[in-house]
Parts: sequence; C-alpha cells; structure tokens
Amino acid sequence: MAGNRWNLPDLGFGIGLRSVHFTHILERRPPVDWFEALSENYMDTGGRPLYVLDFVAERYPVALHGVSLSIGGTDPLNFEYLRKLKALAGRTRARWISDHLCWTGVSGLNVHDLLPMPYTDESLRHTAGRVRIVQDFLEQPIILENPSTYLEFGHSTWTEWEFLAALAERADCGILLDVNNVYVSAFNHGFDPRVYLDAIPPDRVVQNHLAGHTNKGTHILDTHSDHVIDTVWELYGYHSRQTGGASTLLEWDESIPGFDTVHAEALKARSYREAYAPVEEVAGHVL
Amino acid sequence: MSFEPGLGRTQRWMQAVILHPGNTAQALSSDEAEREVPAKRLSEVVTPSRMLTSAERIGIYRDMYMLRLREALRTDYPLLFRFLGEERFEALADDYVHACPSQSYTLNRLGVHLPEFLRTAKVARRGFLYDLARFELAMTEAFDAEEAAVLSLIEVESLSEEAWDVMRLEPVPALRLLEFSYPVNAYARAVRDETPVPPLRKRATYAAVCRKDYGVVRLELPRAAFLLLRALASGTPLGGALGDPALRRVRESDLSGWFSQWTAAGMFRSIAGR
Repeated sequence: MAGNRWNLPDLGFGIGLRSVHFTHILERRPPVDWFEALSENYMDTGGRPLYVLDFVAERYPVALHGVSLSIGGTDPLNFEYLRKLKALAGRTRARWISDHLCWTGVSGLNVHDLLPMPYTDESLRHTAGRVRIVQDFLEQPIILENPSTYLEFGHSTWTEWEFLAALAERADCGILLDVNNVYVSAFNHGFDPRVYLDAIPPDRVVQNHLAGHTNKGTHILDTHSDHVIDTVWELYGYHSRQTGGASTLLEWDESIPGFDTVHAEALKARSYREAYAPVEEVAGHVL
Repeated sequence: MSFEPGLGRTQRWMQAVILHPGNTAQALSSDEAEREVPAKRLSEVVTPSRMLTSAERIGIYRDMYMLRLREALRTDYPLLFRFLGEERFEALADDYVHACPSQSYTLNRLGVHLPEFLRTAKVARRGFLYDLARFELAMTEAFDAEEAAVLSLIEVESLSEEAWDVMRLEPVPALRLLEFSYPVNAYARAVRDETPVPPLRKRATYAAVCRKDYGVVRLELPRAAFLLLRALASGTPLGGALGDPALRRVRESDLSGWFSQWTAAGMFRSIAGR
C-alpha cells in the first residue's frame, strides 16, 4: 500500500540540485522527475543560485532540504531562519520542507554538522515540542531525516529507530528515511539495518535519500562521494516494499560527476523498487 | 553510578570538544569540556565501538569540522589560497576559525571577518593579504547581492547638464568600491590569465566590483574615476562631485569613457530626483 498520511505525492526519482550542474540544467532542461534544493544555499542570495532555482521551480517539482534547523538543539529556535525558509518555500512552491534529526550548535555558535543527540526521554520531549512550534510557524508538516552518526551516547535509553518513530508520532511530523545513513550508522554502531527499517512507520515516510559513502575500515563516513553500494540498494528495495514507494532522491556532493551520471544513478532506484514490489493477490489469483 | 548529563550539557560538552584547537586529548581535558563532562568519564558518555575508542569517535567530528570549514574558506578565498599555498592557507584558516567560530546558520558567511582578522594577524605580507581578502569578500558579496534592473548609457546621457546638478545615480546593490594599498587587481588578473605575477609593491590602487548577467565583474579604476564613482554612489549629484578639487583635471572625454564603462558593467539602477 503506497502513500503517506498527508497524501504528499510520490514525485518519482530525483536528484539534488548542485551548482556544478546549473549550466547543464539551464541549457538542456533534462527530463528529471524532481529536484531537491539545499535551503541554505538559496536563502541569502539574490544572485545566480536563486535565478537557477526559480528556473527549476518553474519547470520541475521542488522540495527544500535544510541542514541548519537544529531541531534537537538547546539554543532557541532561529525565527529569522524560519521566516526566510518559509518565504523560499512559498517562492518555489516546495512540495515539502525537510531537515535532520540532529543539532548543529549551541551558545550562539554553529558547527555546521549534523550532530547526534542522546536518545533520552528529555530529548524526545524537547525535540517534539520544537517540531510542533516549527510546524505551526511553517504551516506544514516538516520531514525529518535520520542522520549518519559516528558515535553513540552511553546515556541513551532509546535506539535511534525507536526515537525517530516515537518523535514522528508524538510531534506528528514526517520522516525522510535515508537508507544510506541507516547503513552507515549500522556499520558504525553494529546493529542490523533491517531492524531499523522494520521499526519505521511506513505511513510517516514521505521521502527517501540514497547516496554513496566512504568506508574507512574502522568506520564509514557519509561523504556522498560515490555510487550507491549494492547493499544499500538492497535495503532500499526492502524498505520500499514496506512503504509502497516514496519520493526518492539521489545525493552526490563530493567529486560530483556529470549530470547524466548522477541522474542515471538516481534512476537505478526504479528497478530496485520494482524488484521488491509486493506481489498482489486478488481473489486468489496472483497478479 | 552512571554519568548521565542532560541534553544541554551534552551539547555544550560536545561542541567544546569539537571546536577546541590542538588534538582530541587536549580538547577533552580543556576547561570548557571539563566543566561539562570530566575527561575521565568519557567512555560513559560516548561508548566505544568495536573498532574505535570513545576519543576516536568524537575525533571524527573534530576532523570533519576543520575539513569542512577550511573547504568553505577556500571556496570563498581562492586567490588567497593560491597566494599562500595549501599549508599556509590551512594554518590561516585554522587560526581564523578558532578565533572567529561561525555564528550563522549558513557557511556562506563564515569568511566575512577574515579581512579584519588578517589586519592584525601575525602573517608575512599582511598588508597585501588584507587587501586581497577584502577584494575577494567584495566579489562574494557582489555574487549574492540582490538583483536589480540597470540603467543604460543612453538613459544616463539623456540627462541635461542642469539635471546633473541635482539628480543622483543610485548604485545597484552589488556595487562595491575598494581602495587598496597593493595592486590586488593586477594580481587577480595575472592569476586568471596565467601570466607572470607583477611585483606586489605597495602602491595605491582602486577597483570597483559589480555584477552583470549574474557574473561578477571587476574593474581597476584610476584614482579620479574612483573618487567620482564613490561620490556618485554615496548620493552626490555629478555637478557637486566634480567640485572636488581632486577632480578638477577630469576632462569631458574622461567622463564619457568612464560612464560608458560603468553603465556597461551595470553599476547604476536608477536616477533619483528627476
């Protein structure tokens, strides 16, 4: 059964909008299902990036993806940031706005990273309250992504998948399930990625992310620097069977190849989704 | 008894460890970190993995922090990077990031204080580096400035002589006017054209940075043109601006050439006062 509880559409198989591809997109207008734009790259510019985003938003479905909401942070929410985010979403007619389950800095500083949280009752209460405030301000559900993490806190009392599922229910927000991030964190922390995927409520999943990573032997870094590995594709297929298929987005942020290579990688997702599609039975007949 | 810092304390501690200069061990035992989590309790707060110690795990975040911020500065200051070379640029970036940690949600503003930092930094060729950094910051600002329709040369030339005494030219938001103590534009041009770098001896130079068709434009200006342009951009009518004794020798043909260049670069958005 496909679909999420907000009936946000399955946009198909898109790619992240990156400046190295601007000229290709402007000149070729490639047939891409949809684009995801990194919110912060367009919020404070009146120059070429915004011109390109306007061009894209007039021709393709667009979703906004942020890295600076700091929904789990203990500094006050930044309403100047939220005001700009809301304006950008309106300007681009963004299908939805996503960010990460993380914090990015405290005491007025910004580390510019998606930092992990201790998964405790206190964190859950704190984060759920902030999600509700943000959703009220933006007047739409926000979609939160599971981050790749490189450490775990000893005082966590929840697993990340339990925490994310509970947060989504308590705050009534959506989930951007990054399958590569699940794999990266599973490797780094030694859990079974399918246990994670099994715990995610399918009707909360609005979007999936896919990306490549860098295996350092002792740990994996979420570098978005390569093709998606086969195991992650298999996990994506497994997860798609659970959700019935959600809008899927390929991220590539380091050593970015030409547009066609990135797009071709995104389109691989279609075959994995189809291969894992449940066999439907109607009145005893297998279709 | 297990050690269970609250959310705020955990975050203050982790940030203190990530931002601290030096190595991870020094960061963990720094005053800022110890105030939140004693170093001896590290393994209770961050569990070791199968292959990494607790310190190595938080060290990943420390390493990525510096890599990310150095890369952001390198993107905004390519000429500074080129001049200093990788090792010296990284040392400068590290010193800067530790002295001026980011307070913005966007990395695009990380380098805004770098020129001022360089003004008093203990580095060789400080004066030139200060000028070069100001030049590159101006280009970044011009790149991101609000877009505006621009005045054409025909519109400017259509003004009567009397009108010039009262009318003011409003600059586009992207326009930046810069006065240097070193020939930074000549250096930038040599790098771009892959020609030999000229002697970087101290001498006053002047430049305008602007944007045309979403591309950043930079112009080296004679002193008189700079003074006139600065006066016009600050709202002084042309007639008044030409009253400056420093501009007494400006000829009609100079003005014609300058306005042709300035309007071609899209420096003005409107005429006020007509």
